[in-house]
Amino acid sequence: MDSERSSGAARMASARRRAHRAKVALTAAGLGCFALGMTLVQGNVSGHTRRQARPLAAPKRFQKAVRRDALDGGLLAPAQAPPGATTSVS
Amino acid sequence: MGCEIVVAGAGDRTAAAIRRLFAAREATFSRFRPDSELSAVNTAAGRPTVVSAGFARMLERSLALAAETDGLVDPTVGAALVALGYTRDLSELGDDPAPAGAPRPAPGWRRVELCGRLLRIPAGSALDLNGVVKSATVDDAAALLDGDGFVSAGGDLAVRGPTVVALPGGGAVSAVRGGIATSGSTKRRWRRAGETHHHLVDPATGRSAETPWEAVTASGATCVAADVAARAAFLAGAGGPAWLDRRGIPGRFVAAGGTVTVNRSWAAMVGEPACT
Repeated sequence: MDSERSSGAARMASARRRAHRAKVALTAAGLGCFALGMTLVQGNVSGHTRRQARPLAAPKRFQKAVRRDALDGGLLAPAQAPPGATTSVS
Repeated sequence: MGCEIVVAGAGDRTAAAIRRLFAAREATFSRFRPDSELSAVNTAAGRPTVVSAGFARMLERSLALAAETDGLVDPTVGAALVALGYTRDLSELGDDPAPAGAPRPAPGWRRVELCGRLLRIPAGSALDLNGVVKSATVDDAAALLDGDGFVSAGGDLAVRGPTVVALPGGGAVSAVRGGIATSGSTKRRWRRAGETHHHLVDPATGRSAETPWEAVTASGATCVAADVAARAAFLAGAGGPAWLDRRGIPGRFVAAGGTVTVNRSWAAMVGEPACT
């Protein structure tokens, strides 16, 4: 009676181990398939980025150049005629 | 905008359009009109406000110029001007025996939060955009001219074609392209309890700036650039000529005694000896 009970418990333990291994294997296979699929999609389907997205804003260097241009100097020459306009303290 | 507007080279229709442009900007950006958009923004200081697209564009420009001038020309000096007593149009501002309030340093342009049309300015602060608005309107008005000519508002000019311009303290120069503007302490000034104040406020102290200059004239690629450069050079004090030279901007400085000096950029273009 005891030997029958112990052989049944051993079979159950063995079945549980096999089931656990099968679950781990299935999960790993699923993750692998997902990763492979995503990689293929990113490489082949338009609309999926192939590289890291970059912000749409103008680059810092460009912004700096535009800012500098906002305070650019004008063009002057010696006066050759009587003044037609006046600049004064405002 | 509390100043005389002179237009040359405009027909009747263009002149009318320019008149409407100045009136519209005045209605939006006047600090002295309670119904202006600027007054509404200042009243809502500390709370988020949705502003018009035009207001947001002008403020964005002011903030960019504040950054470019290292904060010398700061749009957040409104409360400082109010504390000093500049609360009405200059024509209505007489001598007042009451003393000015305590100086209020500007909170600084970096504390203005603008995201698209959503704006929040620091609580207790006020914007003053008059300088940039006036010169930007001069530029916009000059763009309406059909041919050569110029537009001037209170002595800040934008030219289309070479124009000979008379300068403070005597002399003249030919403005070939862009704009020319003068900033100084001799016109927009008022007295409180015997003390004289002027509108060019040092953002760091909240007081009228004390500099060796009475007037600074600068030439810019646009009237805005000229006006902001002139104000920044005035506020930079004795370092004003070098400040403009570092940016390649021609500048001419009239000292309190009437002595005229020019920086190297001005000298190189006009052929006058530069100050050292």
